[in-house]
Amino acid sequence: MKKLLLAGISIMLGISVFAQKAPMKYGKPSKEDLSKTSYEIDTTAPAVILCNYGYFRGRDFTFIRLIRIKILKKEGYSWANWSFHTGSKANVRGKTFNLENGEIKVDKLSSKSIYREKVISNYYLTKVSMPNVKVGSVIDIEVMYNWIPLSWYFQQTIPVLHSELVLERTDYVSFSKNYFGYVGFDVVNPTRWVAKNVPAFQKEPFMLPVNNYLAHFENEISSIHFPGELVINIADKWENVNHTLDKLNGFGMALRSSGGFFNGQAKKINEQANTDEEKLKAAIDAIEEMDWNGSNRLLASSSSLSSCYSSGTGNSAEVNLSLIRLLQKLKFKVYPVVLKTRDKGQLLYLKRPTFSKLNYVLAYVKVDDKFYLVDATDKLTPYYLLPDRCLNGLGRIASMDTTGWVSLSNGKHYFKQTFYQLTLEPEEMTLKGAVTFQYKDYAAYEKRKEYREAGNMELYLDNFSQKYEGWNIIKDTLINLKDIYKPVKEKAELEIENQCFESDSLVYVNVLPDRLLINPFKQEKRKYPVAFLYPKEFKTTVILNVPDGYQPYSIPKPIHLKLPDGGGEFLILVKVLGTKVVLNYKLKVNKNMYLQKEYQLLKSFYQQIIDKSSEPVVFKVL
Amino acid sequence: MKKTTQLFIVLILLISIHHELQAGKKRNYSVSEISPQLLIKANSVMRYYKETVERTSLKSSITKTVYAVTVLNAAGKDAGYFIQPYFKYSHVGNITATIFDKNGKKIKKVAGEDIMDIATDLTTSLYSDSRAKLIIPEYYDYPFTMEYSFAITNKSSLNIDSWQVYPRTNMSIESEDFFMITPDDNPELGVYYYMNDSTLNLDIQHIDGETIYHLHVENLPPVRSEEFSENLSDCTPVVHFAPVSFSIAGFKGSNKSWIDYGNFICDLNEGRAILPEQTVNIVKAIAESFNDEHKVVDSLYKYMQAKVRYVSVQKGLGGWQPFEAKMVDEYSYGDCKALTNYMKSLLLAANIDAKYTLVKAGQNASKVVADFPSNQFNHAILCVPLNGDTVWLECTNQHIPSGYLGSFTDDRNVLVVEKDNSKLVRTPALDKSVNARIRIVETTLTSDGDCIINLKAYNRGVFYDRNYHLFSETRTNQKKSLLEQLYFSTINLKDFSFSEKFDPVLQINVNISLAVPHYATHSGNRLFFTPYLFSKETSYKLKHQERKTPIIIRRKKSFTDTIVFHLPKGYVTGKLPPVKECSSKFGTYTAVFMKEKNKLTYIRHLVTSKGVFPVSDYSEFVGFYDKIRKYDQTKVVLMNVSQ
Repeated sequence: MKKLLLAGISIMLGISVFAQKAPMKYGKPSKEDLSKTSYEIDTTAPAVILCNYGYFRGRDFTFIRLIRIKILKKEGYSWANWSFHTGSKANVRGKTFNLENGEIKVDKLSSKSIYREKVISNYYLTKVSMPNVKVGSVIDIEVMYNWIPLSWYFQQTIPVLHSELVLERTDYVSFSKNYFGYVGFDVVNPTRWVAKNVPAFQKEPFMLPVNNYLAHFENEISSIHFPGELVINIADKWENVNHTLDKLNGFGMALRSSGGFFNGQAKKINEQANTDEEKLKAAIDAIEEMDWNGSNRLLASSSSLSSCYSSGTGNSAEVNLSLIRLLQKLKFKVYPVVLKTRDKGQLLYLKRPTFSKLNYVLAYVKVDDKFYLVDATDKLTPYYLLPDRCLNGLGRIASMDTTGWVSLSNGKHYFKQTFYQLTLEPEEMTLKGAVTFQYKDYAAYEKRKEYREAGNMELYLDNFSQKYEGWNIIKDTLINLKDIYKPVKEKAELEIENQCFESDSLVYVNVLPDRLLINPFKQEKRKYPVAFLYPKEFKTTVILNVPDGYQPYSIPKPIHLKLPDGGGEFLILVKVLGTKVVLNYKLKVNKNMYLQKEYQLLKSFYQQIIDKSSEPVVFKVL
Repeated sequence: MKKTTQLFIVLILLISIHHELQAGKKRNYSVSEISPQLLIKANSVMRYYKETVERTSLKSSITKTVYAVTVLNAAGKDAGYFIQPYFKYSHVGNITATIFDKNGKKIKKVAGEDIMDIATDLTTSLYSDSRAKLIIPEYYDYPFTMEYSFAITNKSSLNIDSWQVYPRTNMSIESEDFFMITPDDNPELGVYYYMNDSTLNLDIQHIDGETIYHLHVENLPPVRSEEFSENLSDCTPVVHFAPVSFSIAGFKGSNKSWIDYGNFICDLNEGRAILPEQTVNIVKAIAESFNDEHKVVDSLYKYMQAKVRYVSVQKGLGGWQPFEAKMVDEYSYGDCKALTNYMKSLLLAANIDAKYTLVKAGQNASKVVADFPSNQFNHAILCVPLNGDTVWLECTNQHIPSGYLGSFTDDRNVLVVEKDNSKLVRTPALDKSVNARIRIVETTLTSDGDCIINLKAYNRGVFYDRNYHLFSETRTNQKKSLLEQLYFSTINLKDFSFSEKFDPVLQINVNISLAVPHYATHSGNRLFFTPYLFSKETSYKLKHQERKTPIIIRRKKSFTDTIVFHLPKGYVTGKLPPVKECSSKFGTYTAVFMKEKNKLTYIRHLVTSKGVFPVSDYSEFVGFYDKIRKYDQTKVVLMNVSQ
């Protein structure tokens, strides 16, 4: 009875329609908010989000957004323009509050400043531009639309004082939530999450890719996954995900279709190939008759893989599911592995699956006692190399027979071997001669991609000659570009400047022409792990002939560094034999992920590489 | 219809069908049919292009186009996309797209649902009705050919697309035909044309009641982009058209003269200068506080800058017609047209007559063709003629001083709009004062090789222009922008500040203190380094290659650096490098090294000339910059004598 009375009074007084009290009331900023000129959390911020509130109303699937922003500087004006992904209908209202001579002046958002735009097919944006915005303005925006929120960002590129999400229970949808990021938040109750005083997001080099935060009109569209994101999904256990996938036309059904067609393909292959490896290569070749259309997908567009194959093009699921089907017919032990591509963030160990975020499938196949993850979308990857977009932590085996996590890597690395044969030209103070590069595994893949991007040798050379400072490439040949199972070789004739100089009858020669110049790790501290695509190994030998009359005056001492736990190794050894200088260089970066606590060691490791590589051999000229 | 007319029409039809058939005969898209010369340095080939534009009424026209592009490799894949922009007054339809393989065999037709319709002005405008039809063919077996055909119906004749022989770089041209048809019975439906290349053979025929313009080109090698060159549409053949008379959303205009075109703009802007009473009162109060009109303009300009912000909304006629002044006043935002119109209204309320002015804006914008009245503009500014001089106002920037026109709008012909009196006038060049960048640097070199730097920079002329955006940036972006100008690889920034000064000239003065770790390299008991701290700026190598276009250097610039190094304790310099100097028609360069007790002073002075230099000068140009690059890398060695 009391409850009813209270409810009745609430309705009469027009108090909040929310089941729980909202952290802000639309249209009622405090005088303190209006008069404040800076906030402790960050005195340099151009604007601060005072409140970002999202409320999902279970009974009618309405999502209500309430936002209050304080503009602190002219550069913060852009935060008066907001863009919402809303579907074709939305109710919007907004107010700009300004303090003028102690009085609060209010400007309402007029319908003329609200734009609904169809970006492409079913994708709508509702954009607002608040009126009369000044330094000191407080802006309130309320948007209501039919929506199930799929993600919520606690962190933004300006500080957020209060961020809150409420998801009301509903019988029709059950949410499972996964959280990514390094910002603390409180789970007040199972339907309510609150984060307070969230600092602005700062990007660091070598992070897992994060979509561009700074284009505000896009931050509601793109799915940013690394820090400060709460991912809400409609699924529960991985076993159920596998069941669902199995029933879907574009997945399980597809893997049971087109038996006759792939049997025919398998027969042809069995006639030509004998070993497992030969059969696998032939299967990939057959599937690569199909062209990938550039689209990353979890599901095929229909259950008929054979008609996809015959059409000549397919999305990544159509290509790889066809490969799995063909490998099944070739009697390989093969499973689909589902994953998120690198640009969408990692699929870490999650108790609760994120079905709607999965966007790729690979073939997981046993070849001669070893399992490989195979992708057939890129014609430049041999079966044991995954393209960069797949190198993303863990994937999940999605089969009815077995399940489990799989590391998204076949254990392959990047190998580059370089051999220089050079002569010092004393007139010009340049190094002239020839260089041979040998690229293996990922190094070969990168080189092949470089050539493919350029399109022809001339454009390739344009790019390549800008890569190292001071290089003038006279001639260049690439060998074995086409055979992806062979390493790529590159031979070039070149002249290099700025490697040696004369001062006071001494000649200083830097013998290593492609040395690392910049330490990629400049910051004092690091918040996020360092994520490389793959481990790398570089081996270089330089033979440099100096003119007669050059006497060695100072030779750099050898160095051999190691990172703990086999994390990496660095070695330089220089010898002078008559008029020949011989330099041996080795650098190994053995992991693809270094944790924050390893950062200082990694930073100083790189610094020592740079310092040591820049030490010259000094000659006295007689 | 007269019998002769019918006959002629049949004749024309026969000619065009014959042409089609001929083209059909030639339309074997096999890649082996392409002449080998056209494949050199090309990523794509325009096999066949036929465009016919017909003016059918004052406001309407129809364009029908068929073309085929062979994409030779992955680098040329953009050439195979179909992108046709449209807006509220135009419609793109009858689109067909067909894929042919390398042997010219038809693979398939692109389905209607794969023709995308996208918004194209998402990031620069809050709202814009600029859209485009887009097709990205899902075919990757290079080489292959795309054949596209489509029709555009225009309900506005303000702009007529020009004929650009080369749509992109690295594309060779096998055959192109452009047709423009206008009826003779109504001179208003005629067109004016302008060609940037007098060797183009534009054929003009009058065939019973119609004027037919025809351009045919064939077998042209690809062009590539070159540095220090004009835009593609300026250094390759283009035919521009302007309608004799035109109509858009009920507004009529004519390109007969700049006066006529200007009157059209006056019509669009009429009646949109009304301000709310409150604002008028403020304006009058400001106007009455000053005797000097210059001061009134200055004050009102600052008032406008404080009150409004720039937001771009391009909807329908709003792409050309400004918002009403009272709307800008109420919402406190607008685009360049609205803000210029608003500023004009403010000045009007103060009894100062200012003129709305159209500009072709951009740092590297093409020139306005003076004797081709037409819509060549993309921006609006305000011209305020006062006693003795003219003040120009850029109304979209919240920071710059009144009267400042930067590289966006300086030194070019602009159309000052006035009823029955519009005319082209030249805006003043921003480099009346010399474009100078002066840096004075005090650095301390430690025995570890670290460099601790205190830098003062004075940015004048075009260097002011490049930096005034700092005043509207966040601190993070300011830092990024300032550091980018220093070209250091690794730095620890300690602090920075900047300010604007008007004495002796308009400049931005920057103070930066930073540390560059490991700047100097050890070698035994020696320490060596490059005294020119910013040598990375000139480390870019110009290509030693055959060049096709003249070298264009738009501004004369002067760079002065005085860098003083305080040497670490116990270290002395040996013999210093001699003076480095070189000069050419492109400029002069000197670098001097001096020592004094425990200080090393390095002074560098570079002046680069302005001009248009012939292609034959290119190797001298490269040679000059090769020398500068080499001299900038000069090293100095310090010896540790304390041991």
